[in-house]
Amino acid sequence: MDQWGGMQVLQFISNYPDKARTVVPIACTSSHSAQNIAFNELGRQAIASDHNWSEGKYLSNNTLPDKGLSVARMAAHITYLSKKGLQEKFGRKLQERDALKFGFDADFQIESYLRYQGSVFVDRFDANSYLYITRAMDYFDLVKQFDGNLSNAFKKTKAKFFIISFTSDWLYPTQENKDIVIALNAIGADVGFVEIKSDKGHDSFLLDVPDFLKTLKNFLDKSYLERK
Amino acid sequence: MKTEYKIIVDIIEENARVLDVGCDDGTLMESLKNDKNIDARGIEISKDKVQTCVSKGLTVIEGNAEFDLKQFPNDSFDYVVLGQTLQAFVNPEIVIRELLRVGKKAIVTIPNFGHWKVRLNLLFKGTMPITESLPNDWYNTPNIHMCTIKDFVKFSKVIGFKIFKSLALTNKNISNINNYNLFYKNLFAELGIFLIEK
Repeated sequence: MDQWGGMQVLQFISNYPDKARTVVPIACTSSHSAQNIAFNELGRQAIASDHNWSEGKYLSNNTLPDKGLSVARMAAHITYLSKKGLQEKFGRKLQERDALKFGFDADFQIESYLRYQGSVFVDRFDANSYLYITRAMDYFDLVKQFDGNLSNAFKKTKAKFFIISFTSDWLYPTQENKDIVIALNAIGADVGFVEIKSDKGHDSFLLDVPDFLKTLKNFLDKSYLERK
Repeated sequence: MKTEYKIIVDIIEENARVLDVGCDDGTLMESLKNDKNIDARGIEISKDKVQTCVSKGLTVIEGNAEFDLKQFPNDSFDYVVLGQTLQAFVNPEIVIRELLRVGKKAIVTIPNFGHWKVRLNLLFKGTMPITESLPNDWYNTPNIHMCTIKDFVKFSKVIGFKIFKSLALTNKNISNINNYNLFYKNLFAELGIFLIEK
């Protein structure tokens, strides 16, 4: 599971310590950093600034805050990718034109790409849901739930943990994943950890990163299937 | 299996809690599992090797012993194993102290730089020794803190840890090292294996 899923995984095993045999939090954290909250707030403000949002009552007004939601998505999308990944894919390449147009259309491919990502997102995502889900992620704090000691969240479980992070993930960097590993090692839990090399940023978890897929498969084959 | 691993497996009793620092491809951890029913933990710096271990179903974390032993509480393990890597650390002193904090006992093996071939190599060629177990040039070797068996014994007195067992490995033959034969073992052993305690 990635971040949003990762938080649910951590909360689940903490609430139901004997309901899972293996736990694999991928590219996640036990609580949002100020930077994470900042990016989420940017998205929420984009939605709230859309006139159509109407304090959340857009459905009864028969309007949709599409502009705000797509801007929120554009900002978030940047955080899922890495600088290097973006540079290699887009660089300063121009979008279907030979020269700059000196206007505010999408001159650069990256602009066009982000606009596209924003526009397809609004078809499948609800603006108010976006507000509530990002808020829930910001509020999530497993460390605080256990009085500042993350280890206590996992004290009752005998599950086998495997934590995976990605080198280019600056949204949920390796250190935050490692903090979970450290909390588990502190209580002698069964925990493995690997940082996968990838230029694809946080999104590595859902893209074709062969090293990642191979590692995950190997873990599940050995630790889940064989322990049945 | 490497004789070195066999000796280590022999030292450790069944069902003990073991951390293998620099566990490589998990060969030792597997033997501990098969022969001693031990669910060992490993820490390994190379991503590739961590992945190899995972594919064998072993519990390994990617990390550097110089920084990542901190996370383990005192006496988390009965034994901490450090196989032929002490010489690769920037600060072997801190690593030894950490091994003995995290583990009740530690098993440390060192490639012996006092071996006669190494000595002759330097004496006659006048260049930094390159041998089978130390195949790198001086400028690209990970082994930045080479020591001899004698050095390690001296080290134990300076740092203040006890050596419970010291074994020499020479051509797959195992022998005890003591105060009387230290000079010879330091000349002929390829590897020193030490069981140490605070």
